[in-house]
Amino acid sequence: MQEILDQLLAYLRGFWRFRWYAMAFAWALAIGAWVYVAQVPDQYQATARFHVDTESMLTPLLRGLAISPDSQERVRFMTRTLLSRPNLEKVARMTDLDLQAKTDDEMDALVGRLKRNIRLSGTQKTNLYEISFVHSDRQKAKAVVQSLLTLFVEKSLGQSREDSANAQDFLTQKIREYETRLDQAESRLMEFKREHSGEMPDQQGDYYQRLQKARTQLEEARFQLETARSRANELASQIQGEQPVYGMMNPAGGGNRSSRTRTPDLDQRIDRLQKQLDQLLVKYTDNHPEVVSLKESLKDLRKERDQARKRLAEAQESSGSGPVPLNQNPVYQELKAALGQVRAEVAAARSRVKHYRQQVATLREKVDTIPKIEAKLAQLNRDYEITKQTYEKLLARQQSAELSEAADRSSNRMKFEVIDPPRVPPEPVAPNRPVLLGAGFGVSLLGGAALGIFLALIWPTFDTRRQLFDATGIPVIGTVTRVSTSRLRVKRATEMIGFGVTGAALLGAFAVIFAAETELMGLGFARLSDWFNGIRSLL
Amino acid sequence: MTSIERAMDPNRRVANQVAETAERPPAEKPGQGAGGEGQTRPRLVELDFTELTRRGLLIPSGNDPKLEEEFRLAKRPLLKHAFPRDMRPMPRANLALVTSNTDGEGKSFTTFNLAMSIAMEMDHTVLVVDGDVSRNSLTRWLGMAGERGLTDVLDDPDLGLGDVIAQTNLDNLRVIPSGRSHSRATELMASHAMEEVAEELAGRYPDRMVLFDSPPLLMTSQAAVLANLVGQAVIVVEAGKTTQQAVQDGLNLVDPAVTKVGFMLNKAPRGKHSGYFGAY
Repeated sequence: MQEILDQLLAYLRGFWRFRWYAMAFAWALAIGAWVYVAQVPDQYQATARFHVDTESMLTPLLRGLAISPDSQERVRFMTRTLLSRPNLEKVARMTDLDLQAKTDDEMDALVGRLKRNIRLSGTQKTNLYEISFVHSDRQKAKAVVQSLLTLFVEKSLGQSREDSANAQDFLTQKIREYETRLDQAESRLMEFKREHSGEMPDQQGDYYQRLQKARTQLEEARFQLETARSRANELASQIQGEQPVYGMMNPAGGGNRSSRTRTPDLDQRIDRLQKQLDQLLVKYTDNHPEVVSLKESLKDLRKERDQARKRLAEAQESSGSGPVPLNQNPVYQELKAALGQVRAEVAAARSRVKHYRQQVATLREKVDTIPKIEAKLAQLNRDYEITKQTYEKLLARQQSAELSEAADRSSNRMKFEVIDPPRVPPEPVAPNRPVLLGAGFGVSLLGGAALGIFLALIWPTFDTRRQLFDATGIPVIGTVTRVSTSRLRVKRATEMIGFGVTGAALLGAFAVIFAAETELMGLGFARLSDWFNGIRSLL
Repeated sequence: MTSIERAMDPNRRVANQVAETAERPPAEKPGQGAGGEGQTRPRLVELDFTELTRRGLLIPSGNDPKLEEEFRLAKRPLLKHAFPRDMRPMPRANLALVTSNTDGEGKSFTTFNLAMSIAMEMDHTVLVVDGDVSRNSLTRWLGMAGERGLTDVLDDPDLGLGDVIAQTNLDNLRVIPSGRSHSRATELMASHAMEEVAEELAGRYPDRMVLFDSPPLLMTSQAAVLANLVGQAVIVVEAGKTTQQAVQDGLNLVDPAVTKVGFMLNKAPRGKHSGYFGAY
């Protein structure tokens, strides 16, 4: 904290060294500020309000359509219409402003300035617009606004072709817009149809049927696979000897397994017939012809089997080589062959199942997306239809507008009405002189202080022996504080008073000018700015 | 007589001057046959204490205790370097120049007050030489304007120091005024004669402190020349006025191998410490 204070003191001392330079600079800045504030010309603003039925120009064209321009568009439309270049040129002529412009370039500049300084604003809901114009000459400002209003009234009374041409342009532009949109919608629709051909509604029935068929086929294939599989298993187990063939039991008990299945084929047939017989006996009696024939067949088969067994047993005994090796056993070979066939069937069935399963899956997928595609198609169609309708309506309106233009010319519809006539307040709207003066005062003070401190910083001196020693490294043998004799005191006092008086004079001058400019206290003498304005008007 | 004996017997000072004639040092100018300090009866200058007080200068009766204290402190290093206790002094250490970088910083003020402060002491004598021949403030303060002084000695080979030295109403304080104004003062000061004067002053009374007032360092070359002829220099810096640049420039003109430099900060603002002195 102490260092901060010391630093501040140092700055103050530095400033004090150059106080007269600072004062001179402050005065210079002050004078500059006064001259500037005095010579800035006053600006006056003229305003007027009017009511215009914007829609009266646009509505008949756009009635019933879903388009309505927003307020920004409306104001822009108004500005374009009312502040068109021919209009502004007319205004310049009417107000004699064009007397200052002698060349085309100057005229351009003048029109540009008018355009910039004329402000048109409107609210969203109502059709109330306000127009304002700022100029240093009160009368001119008012004249410009008045001429504009006159122009507008003239225009509205006689619906000139320019205005409706503007509305026509608006319509044409919209038509072109919609044309593009229609093209886009159409191409989108075509694209979509092309992409999803085959899934369109008219081709849809196929898919459902095909799905059903595929489902059925899948079921069939599954069933086939199952049966083939179980057959293969049976055959395999027969070959292995795990399942004893019916009726091949060796009376000696145990014995070779193979002896039991020596006549598997016959056994099977006998089994089957036996089963059939059993079934029939459930329904019919022994006297039924079918039962009888079956019994006969059964008896025959049994006899055949016994004979076959006997033969086999003899053959076995004569050869004495034990049971016939498996691979020479004709039954075994038969079984093996059959198994092979069945296995092939299984494989075929499996692949068929796979195939049908895939088919089902694909079809189901397709079927799921069908509603989505339907919906998208419907939407595209709708878009297209709507755009087309609007476009056609716009075309129709354009036609009718051209027709109605002639008809409308006779009607005296007042679309333009002045609400507030142009008025120019006597007080200027700019510049804000008191504020500028205050700012000038601040600038002058700050500038002076800044200069003082700046000079002190670039030409530093020593205030303490410490500083002196630190800067040079040479010892300071002593310090003598300021001796003040009465003579010195008087001198200092005089100088301080002088400085104070100059400073007070600066403040006083500012105060006087401030009071004069703001006409505080009714000081009576003319304002500086009035003098300047007077001089300027003379020039 | 050895310097020790002389120092032990301060009362012998007046007698010394007379006795010196017999021991003229060989460096004396031959033309000074009748010269030497003791030959001619030295003039007496009455110090006008009222006038001095008006100017804010020190006087023996203690008009400004604070100022007295500050100079009491300042003279210490000067005396210490000029008369060291335990070793041989540097050559011409008892010659001290008081100067500054620019004008108006308080050289003459400092010179006079230092001289007065040392003179009020018991142990030493002081000789003040006004080397600022163009702006001879010291000479005027003492009311000796126009009288014969330094320039005359330098100019006229027949004149010796003893002819221009003046006593004051303080026993310990002697003065050599600046002398009559001279058109070629600069050349005089830079001449070989000045060197001889310095040598004589240094050697004559080794326990006498000689203070030279001089012009500003940066304004003429005299000061720098003088500074290199003496053993010590005190550069007066005015607080809040002398720029740091000027101080550096001044330092560059003095050769530290030849002259021991010290600063004196003058017209310092009343700071935290300055209030204490003098009230005790």
